[in-house]
Amino acid sequence: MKSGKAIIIKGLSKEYYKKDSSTSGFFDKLRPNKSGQSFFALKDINLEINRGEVIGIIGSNGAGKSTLLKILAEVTPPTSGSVEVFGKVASILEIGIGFQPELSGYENIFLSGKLYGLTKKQIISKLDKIIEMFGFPDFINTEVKHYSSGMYMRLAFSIIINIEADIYLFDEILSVGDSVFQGRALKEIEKLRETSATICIVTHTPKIIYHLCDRMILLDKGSLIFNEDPNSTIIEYQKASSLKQSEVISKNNFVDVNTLSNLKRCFIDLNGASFDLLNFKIYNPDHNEEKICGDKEITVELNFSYISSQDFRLILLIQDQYGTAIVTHFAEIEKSQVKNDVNLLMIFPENSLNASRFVFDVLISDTNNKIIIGYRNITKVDITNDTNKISRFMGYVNIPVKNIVSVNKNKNGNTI
Amino acid sequence: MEHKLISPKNKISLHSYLRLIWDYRYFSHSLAVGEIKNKHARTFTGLFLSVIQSLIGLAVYWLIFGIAIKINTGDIPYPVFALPGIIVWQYFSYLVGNSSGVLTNSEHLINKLYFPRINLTLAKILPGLLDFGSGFLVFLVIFLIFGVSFSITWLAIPLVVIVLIVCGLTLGLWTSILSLYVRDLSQIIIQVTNFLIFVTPVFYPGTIVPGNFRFILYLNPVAGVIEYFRAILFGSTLPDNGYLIGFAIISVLFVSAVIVYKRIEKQITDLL
Repeated sequence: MKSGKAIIIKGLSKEYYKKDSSTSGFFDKLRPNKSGQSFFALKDINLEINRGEVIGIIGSNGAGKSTLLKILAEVTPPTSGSVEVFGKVASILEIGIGFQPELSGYENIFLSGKLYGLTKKQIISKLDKIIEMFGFPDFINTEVKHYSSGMYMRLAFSIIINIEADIYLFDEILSVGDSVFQGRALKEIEKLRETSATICIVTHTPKIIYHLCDRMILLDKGSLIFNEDPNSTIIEYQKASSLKQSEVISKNNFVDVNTLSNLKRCFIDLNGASFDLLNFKIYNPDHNEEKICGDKEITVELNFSYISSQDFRLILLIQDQYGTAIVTHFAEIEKSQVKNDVNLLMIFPENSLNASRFVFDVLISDTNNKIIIGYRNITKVDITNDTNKISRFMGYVNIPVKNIVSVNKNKNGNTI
Repeated sequence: MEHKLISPKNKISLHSYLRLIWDYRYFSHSLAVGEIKNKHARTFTGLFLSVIQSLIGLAVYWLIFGIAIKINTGDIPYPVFALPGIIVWQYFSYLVGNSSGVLTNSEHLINKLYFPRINLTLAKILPGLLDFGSGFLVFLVIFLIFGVSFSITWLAIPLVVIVLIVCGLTLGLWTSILSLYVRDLSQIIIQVTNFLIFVTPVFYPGTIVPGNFRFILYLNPVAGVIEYFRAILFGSTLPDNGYLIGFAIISVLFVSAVIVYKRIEKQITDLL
């Protein structure tokens, strides 16, 4: 039964009562309807998920992503509405949930399997497969607390996959662990995808999983506001989140000397030399709006003063919001025995930065690229994009690559 | 193909709920084994610890009640008389003390996975039973030392143990539910059980309690368990039927605890 629905959600809502521990007494808690205010973690969600589909559930914090998953996992009941689930569900709201560090890998396979409702017989019949997939048969009798994080996860996933559920629910599993862990987890989910299971993944870093998903849904304040292919949903998500933060961020398009001097960190003794960044500005030169568009020219303007007996470099480091370096650009500055005041414009041509959030650093290094002074996390800037010309979410920057297309036509004139 | 409907009201029948609990018995079993391993296998003294515990308890009570106060226990030497009561009480207070906070202690599991929540409490049966068993072995040794004779009524021991487990579970289940509303209840209940031991015929025979105060014992199901346990072990006459009141109360409370669990089970996550 390949086609058909896996999950049908109808008018699903979840209402939470605000807990006020200082005022609510015993009897208030018994009758939550009569006390305190309530809010909706989920409001009237309607969604159908097809068999074999991979769905990404995205949204900012408090959007209701995890609540939705918890309801599907039957951990918490809905307040109204209903969910129809066709098939066996395995909810992985945490990797290695229920693992006992004191027990061996072998014993944990049984514990975990039983947690997912398997009988001893069922586990035994899958044991060889699980251990084979785990890939460290020599360690199967070692206590799990001695495992590396990679082994731990491999064990968890080899159990999960062998549960042979029809529907898998993953909650934020990609946000724990380092990037190596993330990469491994993604690979494991890819494997799972090949088994034609239905998969729901909750994440706030949609860029990592968009290639896995057939569809993404965007939740905002408990409502399902977008339900399309991953590309469009991510763009919508970024629009929504940059709108929310626009007031806060726009102020940071200009950073003054006070803020900058607080950020300044010297890594070595300057030996009589000095460098002071006086201000940092980022703007579109041809229009005066507070928002910054990536499809127009962008100027980063720096004012600084320095005294130095050596030539040095001023480096502008652009990172994404998770601190991953995206682009660096630098300017060579000549030595000067007297105090120099400099105004430096770094001009990014139009369509070089894609719509996303960027974090700016200014670093000073000597000519051997040894960092001397750092101004970290000067400002966060949301770059927007007014036209739909380029796929804005596909990466952070746009490199002007030339396409050379040559078409070979065969004799009949049909293109191959 | 499994088909499930998730809706606000969990309209599962009692029968299928019990069925579900049974399906997750392996889960309870695993938890229990984990707990036993944590408690015994990884400690230096191991299982020996619980044996020592019962022995020390026995020595103290023997000094106070057997030698100092000289409670009349008939033909039966005081240590032989007191030990069954002590191991019964230890099992009971283990069940109550460990299952009352089980929901709040297992928050991480409850928040992440569905399983019948009642199975968390059921997982406490086995570790306690192990201690009970080792205590019973000590009893056997002392029993042989003092040369008291066996009787055919020993066959009924499992029945007493089952009633004892039901008593402990019932109190544990109710306090675990109620401690969702009153956080310090599991602390309170430990104090209460410490006090209750004195209104339970652990150190003394129920028969020495005057008739007009006997009703206190009747209301206490553990009193009944201990009295019946002794009667079976020593082949003496069965205690009076008043103790059946306690059993009646506990059965009602037990059934209602299961029903309440079934009803509020899904809400537990939100109450934590």
